[in-house]
Amino acid sequence: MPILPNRVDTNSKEFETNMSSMLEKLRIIREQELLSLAGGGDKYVERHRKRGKLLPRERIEALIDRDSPFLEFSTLAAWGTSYNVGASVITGIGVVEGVECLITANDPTVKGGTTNPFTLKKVIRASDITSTNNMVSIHLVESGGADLPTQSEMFIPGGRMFKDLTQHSKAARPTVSLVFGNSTAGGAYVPGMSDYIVMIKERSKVFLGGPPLVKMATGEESTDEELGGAEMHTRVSGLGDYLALDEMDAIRLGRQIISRLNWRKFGSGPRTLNPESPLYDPEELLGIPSADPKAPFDPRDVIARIVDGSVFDEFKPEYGTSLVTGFAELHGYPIGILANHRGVLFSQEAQKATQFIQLANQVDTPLLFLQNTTGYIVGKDYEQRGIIKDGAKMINAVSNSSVPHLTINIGASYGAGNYGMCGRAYNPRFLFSWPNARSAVMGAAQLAGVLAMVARQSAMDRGLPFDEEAAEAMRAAVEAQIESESEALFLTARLYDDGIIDPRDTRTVLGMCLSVIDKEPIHGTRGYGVFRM
Amino acid sequence: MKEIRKLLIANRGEIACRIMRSANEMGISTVALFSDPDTNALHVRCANEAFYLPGSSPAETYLNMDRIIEACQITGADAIHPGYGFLSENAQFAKKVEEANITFVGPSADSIETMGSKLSAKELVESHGVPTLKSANLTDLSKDNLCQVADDIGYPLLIKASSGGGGRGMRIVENSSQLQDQVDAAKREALSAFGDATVFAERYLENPRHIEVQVFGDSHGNIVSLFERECSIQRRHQKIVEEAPSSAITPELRHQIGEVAVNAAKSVNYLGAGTVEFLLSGSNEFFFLEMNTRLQVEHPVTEFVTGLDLVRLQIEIAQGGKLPLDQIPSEPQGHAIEVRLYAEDSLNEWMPSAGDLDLFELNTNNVRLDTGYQSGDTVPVSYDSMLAKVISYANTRAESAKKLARALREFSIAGVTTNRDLLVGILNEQEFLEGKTDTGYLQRHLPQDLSQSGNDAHRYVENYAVAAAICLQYEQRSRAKVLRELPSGWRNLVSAPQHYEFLTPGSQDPLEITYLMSRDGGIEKVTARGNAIEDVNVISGNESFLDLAVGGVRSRFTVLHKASKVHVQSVHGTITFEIKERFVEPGSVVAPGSMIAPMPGTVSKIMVELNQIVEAGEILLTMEAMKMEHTITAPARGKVVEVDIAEGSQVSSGQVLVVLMEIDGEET
Repeated sequence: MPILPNRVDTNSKEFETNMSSMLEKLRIIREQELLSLAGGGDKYVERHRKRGKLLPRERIEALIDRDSPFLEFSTLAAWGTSYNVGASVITGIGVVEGVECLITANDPTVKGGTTNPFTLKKVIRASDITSTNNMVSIHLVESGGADLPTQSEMFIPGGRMFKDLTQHSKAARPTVSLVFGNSTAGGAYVPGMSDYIVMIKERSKVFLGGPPLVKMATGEESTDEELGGAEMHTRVSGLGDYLALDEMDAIRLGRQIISRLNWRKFGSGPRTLNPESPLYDPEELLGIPSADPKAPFDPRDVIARIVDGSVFDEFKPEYGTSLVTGFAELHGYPIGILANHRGVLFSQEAQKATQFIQLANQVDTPLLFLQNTTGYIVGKDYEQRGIIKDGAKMINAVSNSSVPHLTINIGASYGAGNYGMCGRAYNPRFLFSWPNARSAVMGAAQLAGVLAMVARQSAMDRGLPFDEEAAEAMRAAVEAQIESESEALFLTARLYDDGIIDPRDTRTVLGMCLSVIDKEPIHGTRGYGVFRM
Repeated sequence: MKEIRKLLIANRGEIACRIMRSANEMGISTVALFSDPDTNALHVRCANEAFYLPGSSPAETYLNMDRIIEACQITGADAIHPGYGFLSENAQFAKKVEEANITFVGPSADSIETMGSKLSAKELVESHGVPTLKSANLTDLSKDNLCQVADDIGYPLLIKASSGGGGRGMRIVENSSQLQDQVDAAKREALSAFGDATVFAERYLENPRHIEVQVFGDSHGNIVSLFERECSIQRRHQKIVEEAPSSAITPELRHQIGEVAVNAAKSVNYLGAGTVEFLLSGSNEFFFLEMNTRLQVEHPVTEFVTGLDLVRLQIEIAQGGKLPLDQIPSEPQGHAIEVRLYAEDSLNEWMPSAGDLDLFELNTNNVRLDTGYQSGDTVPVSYDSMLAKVISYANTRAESAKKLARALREFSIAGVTTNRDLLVGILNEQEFLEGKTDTGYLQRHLPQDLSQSGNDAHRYVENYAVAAAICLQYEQRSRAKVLRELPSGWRNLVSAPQHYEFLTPGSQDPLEITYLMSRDGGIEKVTARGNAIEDVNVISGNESFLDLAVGGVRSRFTVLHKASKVHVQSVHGTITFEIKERFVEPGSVVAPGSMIAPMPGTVSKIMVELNQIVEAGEILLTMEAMKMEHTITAPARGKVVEVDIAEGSQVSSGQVLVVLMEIDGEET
C-alpha cells in the first residue's frame, strides 16, 4: 500500500514559525467565536436564565445524543458587521437518536432572536444543506420574527424559509419544530410549516398578531395565551402536536419524534470498518501551511494527516505536478482528492484534473478539493497553447460532475482557480476554510498594481499629468483593502464558506460530512458539456 | 462396602456445588435437582445431570421427599447427599432413602431423630455427662404453669422451637409480662416453619461465645473430634463470621470440649459428619446446645485447619470406609476464617435482597470461594439469601483476617445489596482482631459503623464517578449508529463539556461529573462537583474497563452499566451509581410520600384504609418476602391518600404500595 512518508521536520525553524503563526490565527478566531458563544451578552443571558430558560447551545447539547459530535456552521457569520457575531442563530449537524439532523436554534438573547440579513443567509444555507444531503431538520424556535430595522434586506427574500420547509416536507425530509418561546408574526410560519410541532406549556407563543396588534386591528381584547398559548394550540387550534411540560420535556419529545421517523440511510456505507487513523500526528497540521502565504507547501503532507492509514494512491504523479490527484479512504469512505501544489494551474494540471474528475464520476466516488491555488497561468506562451481551453475543460468537468464535492481552502483560492477547484459557486456539499485561507479574484498586490497601471495608462492616453505620489498612496490603500477582504474572517463572515475550522479537526469534519452525504447512493455523471478541444 | 457411583445432591446453591467438587474428584457422577427459579443456577450447570422439581416453594421442590427418591431411581443414582438445611436433618427422609435401598450420606435416621428433638437430645447427652443449660418444654403449659416453669429457669430466658434450626423461631424473654405472647408467637412460627409447634425455654447466657465441635464417626466404631469452630458473631441468630480455631480455646479446653463432644456423638453411635454446639461462658464454662446431624455451612474452616476434605470423608464413610485416623493432626494447624456473604441490607434490619447479580467475580488466588452464583445470575426470593462463603487461611489469625478483608474489598459484587462492607468492617475492627468475639459483638458494634469503616471506596467516590462517566462515554460511542469513529463529544466550537449526574446510595445530592475528551481520545478536562480534577489520564479503557491515572496514581476500574445503574469496582471496593437520566418520562415520577415495596413479595395484611390519618411509626401493611414478614411503617404523621394494592397482591421491588400525604400539626 502506498503509504505517504513523513517529511515534516517538527524541529525545523520553519515548522516552528508556521505553527506559531497558525496558533495566533486560531487564537484570534477563538476570541471572535467567544462573542458568538456570549450571545446577547451577560445582561440578556442573565435575564433569559432568570426566566428558567436554557441557552440555545444548551438546548442543542440536551437534544443531541450523549457524546456524539456536533458540527456547527458559520460560527463567525456577520463578523465585522454591525450584527452580532454568529448572526443570532446556530446551525449545525448533530446526531439525535442516531439520526444526523440539521439543527437550527434561534438565540433569543440577541435582539429576541430576530432574523437579520445574515441570520437569513445562515438559515437558507442550512436549508440548502438539508436539501442537498436529504436530511431531517429540527428547529429550536424562539424568535420575534424579522429584525424590523433591517426588514427591507430580508423580508422579501426571507419568504424562502417557509417555502423551503414545505418543500423539505414534500421531499420526505421531515421537519420538526420545538417552540421554546415567542414565534410570532412571520416567525409563526416556521412551526406553522413544520411536520411536527412541540409546544411548551406557558412558554410557547405562536400567533400572527399579539394582543396590541389585535386590539388595533379589530378592537378585540385578548391575551397571549388565548391567541397563541401552547395549551390553546394543542387543545383548540391543533397547530401544536405535542404539549411539553418544560424545555427538557420538549427536547425529550423532539428526540422521541426523531426516533420514530424510521430514518434509514441508503448510501453504501464506509468501505472499511474500523479504519486506521493517519500514521502521523494531526497536531502537525498546524506547522505545515507556510506562515508566508507566498510560500507553497506540499499537500501530500496534509493528506498524510487526514486520510486513513496515511494511504494515498496517487494518480498521474509524474504529470502536471502542480496538482496532486489520487484516491484514498477517509473514515472508511472512498474519496478522490485534488490538491494544489505550488499554486499555479497549467494546461497539464487542468487536463489531469479533468481526467481525474471523470474517473471519480465513473466509479461514484466523492471528491475532495484541497484549494491552495493562485489561479491558472497567464502569459503569451500559455495563452497561445490554449490555457483557457484547458481551464474550461476543468471547469466543465467540475460543474457537471455529480459526485458529492467537499472543498477545503487550506491556503489560497484565487482567480479562476477558485472555480476550477470547486469554489462556493460550484456548490460543493460543504466548504470549509483553514484560518490561513485567502480568496479573491487575484492577489491584493497584483490587483492594486493592475489598477495603478490602468490609471497611469488612462492618464497617458488622455495626455493628463499623472501624480505618482498620490497614485502610490492609492495603490497602497487598495492593496490593504483587498488584502483584508481576502482573509478567512472576512469571507466566512459573508458565508462564502461553511466555517473556519482548526486544521487539526479536518479529518473529523470531513468524516462527518462524508457520513452525512452517505444518506443517499452516489451516482456519478456519465456526461459533460462539450469539451473544448 | 457400598461403592457409590452416582450421587444425587438433594440441595441447591453453594453446598450442592461444593459436594459435587469432591464427588468429581472421586470419580463419582453427580445429579443435581432444580426448581423453577433454579433452572439456570450454577449448581445445575456443574452437575453431570439434573432433575427437575416443578415449583418454587421449598415444599414443592427441595423438600419433596418422594419426588427426590424417584429422581434417584430415574437417574440411577445410588446415593443421596442432603447437604445442609432442607432434608439434611429429616429422619423420615433418611428412613425413606434407606428403604429405597439408596445410600444416605449422613447419619442414621435414629441419630437424626434423637438429636433433632432438642429436648430429647439434651436429656440423652446429659446422661452421658455432657453439661447442659436448664430448660423446659413450654408447648402445652397453662399460663400459670408457664410462669412457674419460666421462673424456675430464670430470666432472661430463650424460647426455641424444638424442631427449629438456624436461629429461626428463637425469642429472648426479659420478664414474665412478655412471656405468654412470645410463647404463642414462637409456637405459631414453629408450626408454620417446621410443622411442629413444640417450643421450649432454656437459661439464657448473656453474650456467651458460640463454640461448636466438628465430630466424625465411622461404621468401624471410631468417633473423633476435628476440633472446634467459633461462630459467635451472629445476626438474627445466624452466623456470619466463623473461624477455627477459636481464640478463646486453650489446648486444655480444646481437649476437654472435644472429649465431651465425642461423648455426645457416642450417645447415638454417630455416623458421619456432625457438629456438637456449645455455649461458652465468660468463665469458660460450656453447655451443650444441640447437635447438628449434618455437614455445617462453616465446615471449610475445619477443612483448612485439619487438611481434610470433609465431604470426601462423608462419602467414604457412607461407602463403609474408615476414618483416616493417622491423617488427623493432634492440634489445628494455622487459622481459617469464613464469612458468609449475604444478599441483605445490614443497615435496614438485615432485610434480605434479591434480584440480578450483575457482577460477581472474585480473584480466588488467595482465598477460597464457595458459591452457587456467577455474574449475571438471579438471586431468587424463594430461598436463603446467602450468596457465598469466602474463606481465608493463614498461619496466624491476624494474617487470615487481613487476607480475607482485602479479598472481600476486591470482590466485584453488584446488582444486589450485600453485607460485604459489614464483613470487611468486622475483619478490620479492633475488638475482633483482639479476639473479643462473643454473641453480643453486633450489639456493641453497630452495623452502620462497621459497614462504614468497611467501605473504603466512598473516600474515592469522585474517582469512581469519573471512571463511570468515562466508561459510559466509551459505551455511547461504541453503540453509536452513525459517526462512531469520530472523537467522543467532538465540537468545532465547544460551549459546554459532556456531563453525567450520579446518585449514590444514601445520598440525595447528585454527584456531577463533567468531562471533555480531546481529539486524540484522551481527557482534556474533568470536573467533579464543579471542581477540576487535575492530572487525569486515561491509560487505556473501553466500556467496561478503565486504567485511569489521577494525580499520578494509576488504578484499574471495572465498570458495568445495567439499566439506570452503573457498578464500578476497583481496589477499594464497589460503588453503584444511579444515573440521573437527562429526561424524565412522564408517569415515571413517584409521588412524594409513596411507600415502596423494598423487595418482591406478597402483601399479607393491610392495616390502613383510604383517608385514614396515621401516626409516625404506625404499621401500614405487612408483606411476606424471602420467607420473612416485613412491615411497612409510616415515616411521619400523615393521611393515606392512595392504597394501590390489596391483601394477597404480588408486588415487585420498587412498586408503590401506599401513598401518604404528610400532615403538620393537629389536623384530623
